[in-house]
Amino acid sequence: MTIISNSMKNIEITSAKEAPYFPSVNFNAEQGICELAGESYMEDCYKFYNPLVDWLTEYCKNNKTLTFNFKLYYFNTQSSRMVLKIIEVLMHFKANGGKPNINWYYYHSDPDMVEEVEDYQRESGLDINLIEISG
Amino acid sequence: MEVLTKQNTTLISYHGPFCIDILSNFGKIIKQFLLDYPTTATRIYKLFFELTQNVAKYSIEKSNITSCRFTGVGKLCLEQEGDKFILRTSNLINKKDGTVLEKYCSEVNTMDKEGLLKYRSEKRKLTPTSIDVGAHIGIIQVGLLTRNKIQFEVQPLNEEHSVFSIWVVLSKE
Repeated sequence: MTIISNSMKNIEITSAKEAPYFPSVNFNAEQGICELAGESYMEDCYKFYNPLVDWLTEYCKNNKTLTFNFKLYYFNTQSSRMVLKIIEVLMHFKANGGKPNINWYYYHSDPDMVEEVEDYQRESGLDINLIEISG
Repeated sequence: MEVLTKQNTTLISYHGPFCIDILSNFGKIIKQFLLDYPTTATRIYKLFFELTQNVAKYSIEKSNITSCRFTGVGKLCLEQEGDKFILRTSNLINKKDGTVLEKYCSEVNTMDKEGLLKYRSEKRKLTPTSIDVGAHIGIIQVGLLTRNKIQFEVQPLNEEHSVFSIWVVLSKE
């Protein structure tokens, strides 16, 4: 039996048209589903990502299952460092008995994304499901 | 007649502050212009942000726009030449940094894809240091995306400053 003790506030950020460099975020503790979607090339990206990494770390301390959906269709190299931090949290989660289910959606027109994700896979030893979408 | 047979077209040419909102709008334009070449469009879109954000952060010529954190000034050009696209940025740098940037670019050009992937992994794990003149992991990413050698040039301007230009050539896909 998995005991879920969530008093965590969900994080919901909608990507704005006038600031497309911030991805939308939906971290839902009750459902155990986290999603990052859109593009990520903001200035000072650690300010955006650090609270997300903290939330995820806290979630992983108290739960055993998590689905993480990456729907990041473009992220710059600075953001890629923060994505690595998220992957590292998921690595520790798995090492401590957690069951992460990681999905990475990518466009057919973006073969470079596959290489990037495989890179994260190699580094972390995590299984990441690559899901191609048209476009 | 040269004018009629000329295959070169300038798609974007810009000189000014590389603020994030301006770059974001150029990004949208790139996607629209290159609709017929989806893979190349995606690649150029990524290269565009890597190159221009380096200008925004590291150009020593700054604009006085206060709404942006990074306000580096530089030049940007996207051209179409036959079956290729050429994307170029230029910006002012301190003369002493020219050698370091040349070293970064040359280093990337000597590596094959596997070497670059490994190098990017190593750099990604590091926190950027104060002695870093910037752009390093970005240049590695540019090397991975371009599928060609990075072209670059450091042109001395005066005793203190040089102009750093970097460009990439991509085949239409």
